[in-house]
Amino acid sequence: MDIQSFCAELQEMLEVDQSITEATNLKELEEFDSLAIMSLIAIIDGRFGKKLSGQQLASITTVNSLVELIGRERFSGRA
Amino acid sequence: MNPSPHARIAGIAYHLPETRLGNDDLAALHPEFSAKKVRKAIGVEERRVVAANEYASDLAYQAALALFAEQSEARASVDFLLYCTQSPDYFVPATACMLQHRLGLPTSVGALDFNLGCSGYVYGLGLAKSLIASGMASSVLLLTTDTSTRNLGGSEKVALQSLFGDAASATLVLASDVPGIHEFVVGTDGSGAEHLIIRKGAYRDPSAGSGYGEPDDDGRYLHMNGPEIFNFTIEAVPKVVQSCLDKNKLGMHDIDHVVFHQANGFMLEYLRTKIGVPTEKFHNDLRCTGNTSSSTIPIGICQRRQSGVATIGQRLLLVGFGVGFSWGAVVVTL
Repeated sequence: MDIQSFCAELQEMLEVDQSITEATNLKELEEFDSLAIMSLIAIIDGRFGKKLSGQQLASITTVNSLVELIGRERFSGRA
Repeated sequence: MNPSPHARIAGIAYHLPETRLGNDDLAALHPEFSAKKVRKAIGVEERRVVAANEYASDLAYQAALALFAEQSEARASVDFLLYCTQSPDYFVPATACMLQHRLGLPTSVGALDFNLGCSGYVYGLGLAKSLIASGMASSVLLLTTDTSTRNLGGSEKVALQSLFGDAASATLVLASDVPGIHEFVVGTDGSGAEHLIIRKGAYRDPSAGSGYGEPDDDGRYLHMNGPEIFNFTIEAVPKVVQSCLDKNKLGMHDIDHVVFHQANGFMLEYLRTKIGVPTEKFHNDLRCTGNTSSSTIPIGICQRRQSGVATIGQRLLLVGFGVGFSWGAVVVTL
């Protein structure tokens, strides 16, 4: 999937009105709570077959940082 | 060796304490609590909470009485009591011994406590089957019970409060000519111990802590690292399911009902899709109980029986996984 679609999926998962972009700081969003993190784990496992450790998840700030953790090469197309 | 060396489940009953804590009650206490979110994400509407003077053994006692009401000969014929709890009445003696007396079981019974949570019911069935196969018992009363709501740090931790409920179950396992409890797969990974732990109050750190304070840092209450636990389950559970089916020489199509430990609805649904279990076979119902530790699986079986969706003779795959980390899976015939 490309990064734009990933951002759209995050927006849907978080149920936020604002548009999510690579620059969005997830950590600062009220909606980015323990339930959102669970959903995120499921998305990353389901879409990328990848597991992020608790420590890695705790280090997420912007969507960009999340993309780097997953591995930018795993995304298709251009952001 | 027992002349009837196999084991079967003859009956299951459960008991919930009276006090209900609904999502609306939690929302009234905590402005940030979203009933809608909890309902959607975790699947819990209400949980039951023990009264101030009510303990895990009281719940287990009631569950046993409920079972005896259905199985009138059980009380006199039980020759072993297995008590699965992480909420013992006292450190010494085993609560099972006190329950032998309270239930009026014959003094010829064996009785012991074992300390497991999420995987406890499956292990309990394994122990019961083994006691029967060895000839040490022919009628085992397996009780599961916990008062998880006591371990959550009170009103400080609404996230935990929304997840857990109190309950007990009672299962009668009898020696049988025909096997009803089939092959088990078990496993343990203690590297995950730190992710679901109550540190204080036992021997390694007996300090009781003071008041509520920061419950998690205090160590008196349950520390739960959701992401690490979720990572563990999505890694381990699909493999355990496959191993158990293989060991029983069955495919998923041979199983009528799949009852996992009911930890939270979101995780269950994700596991269901990952493993590929059809919705109608897969139990996912925490609405009225929340996560009740080792009682979730027996309660789940009862719920499916009571609704008529599960009938005698059908095959169930039971999978318990969690605190320890510990896991176990077994196929049973109802």
